[in-house]
Amino acid sequence: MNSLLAHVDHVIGAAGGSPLYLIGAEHLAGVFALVVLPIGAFVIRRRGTPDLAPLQWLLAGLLAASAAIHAGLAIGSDHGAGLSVLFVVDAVLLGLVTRRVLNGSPAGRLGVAVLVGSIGAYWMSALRGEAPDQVGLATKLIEILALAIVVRPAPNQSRLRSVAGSIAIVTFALGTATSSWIGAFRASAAEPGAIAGHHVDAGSVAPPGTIFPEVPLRDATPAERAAANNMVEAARIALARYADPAVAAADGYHVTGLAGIDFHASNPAYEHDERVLDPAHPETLVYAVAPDGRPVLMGAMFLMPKIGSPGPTIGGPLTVWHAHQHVCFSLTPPALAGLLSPLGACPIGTIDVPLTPEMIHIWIVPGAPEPFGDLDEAWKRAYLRAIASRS
Amino acid sequence: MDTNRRHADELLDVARVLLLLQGAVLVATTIEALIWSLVFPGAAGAPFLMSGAAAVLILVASARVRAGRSWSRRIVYVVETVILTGLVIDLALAVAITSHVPPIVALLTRFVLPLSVIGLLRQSTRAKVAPARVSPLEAAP
Repeated sequence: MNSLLAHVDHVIGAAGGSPLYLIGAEHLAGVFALVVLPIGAFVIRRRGTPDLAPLQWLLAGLLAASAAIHAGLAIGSDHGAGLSVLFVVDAVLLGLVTRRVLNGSPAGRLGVAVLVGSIGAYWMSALRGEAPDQVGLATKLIEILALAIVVRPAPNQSRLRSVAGSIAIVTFALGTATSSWIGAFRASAAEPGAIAGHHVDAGSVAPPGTIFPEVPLRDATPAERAAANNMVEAARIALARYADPAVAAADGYHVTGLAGIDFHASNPAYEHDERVLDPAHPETLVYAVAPDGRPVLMGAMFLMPKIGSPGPTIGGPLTVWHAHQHVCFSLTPPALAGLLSPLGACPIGTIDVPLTPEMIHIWIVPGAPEPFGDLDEAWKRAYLRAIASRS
Repeated sequence: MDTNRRHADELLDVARVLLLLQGAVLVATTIEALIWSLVFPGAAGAPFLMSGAAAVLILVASARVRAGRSWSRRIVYVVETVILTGLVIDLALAVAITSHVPPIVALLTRFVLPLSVIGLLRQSTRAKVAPARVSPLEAAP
């Protein structure tokens, strides 16, 4: 159990998982800065509690929380003095609006401008490839909620304005989710020499939904290369019989609905047979359908029997296993349904699977540029076209 | 009685704003389900429809919930219960598998928000029906 937990910590740590679902170390100061809120509340209470409606109290609390987080981020930021100054300016402006609300005045246009500016700056940062994390996302949700209060129409104002306000809030939530997805995927792609799908080098950022264990920064030894090549060759021989999906179906693989160029046909019986990296009994076969409609066996995916068990890296840095995190899984019917949203939810009717067992792909098609990990999409399509043209 | 009514309305104001944010999150989740359905077949169908229905119900409730409208409260209670049930399952899975709780934002949008909305709606109902406290001076003939 201890080794399992140690490995889970290992793959969940900063080296393995996407920052989208984590708290970045440089953002911790923002979280710690929230301790000023109870102190502020105590001071306000000592001076005499202002007579405010619950909604105004909530607004003041949200603005103060965002101001405190931004002040903390200014201290913890390692992106240069310019960004720290911007965080300080944001914190000061949010503090001014908080004071205004506590004095019983409306947040007004200043409030709208500061909140929209703060949310917009986050979008820009994410769209430029800054990896979003939980502190940033929580802060934006706080600000969107504050904005919802600020733009809320007075009781005597038109319904049109109320609808416009609601549309604005939905748009801000959508924009935050969209920019966060883009930022998370761009950050993973932007790391130098890092990720191409399921390949990773040490120190890189994982894309959302994928966890990589730390990879040694070295070349494979001759023995590791030989072991990796032997594994691919053994898989090629053992899996040749599954070129016909009917044979695979007879052995328990789920080939029904075979379509696309990355069809994973799993075999539930092999998922719990305790066999590890057995080339004759892969847990999943991977097929692609050629342009002429012919199914082509591309390779196999091997799955560890237990979550948290590290896969055997027989080829050293050539054979890097990966796991998936925060995968949304539909129960109606059972199927993959996406990844956990930056806004914290899987679609209703699905569950958030926090971590899967480790897995590795082995490609048996002749000439595959990479026998392990991801198979290049363009290469795959060209290969399938060539197969179709030969027939 | 007016004081209680005002307090109930003020609590409903807070609930409406929270419902609006929750509706916005559900709209985002629905659109994400639609996009994921291009990659994963499981996102199409029931998850997309249920998320979309929850988004519409919560957004309608955010505009319509009133002190005297029990139907809007009931709808909110049902949707919030579904969301909270989902979170409990995810929480149990996360703790059992990784010994970690789900990410903070998930706890905010799927635990703090629904629980706050339920609490506010219940409090507003209680505040509305509670007898007004009258000071002895006001009660004197």
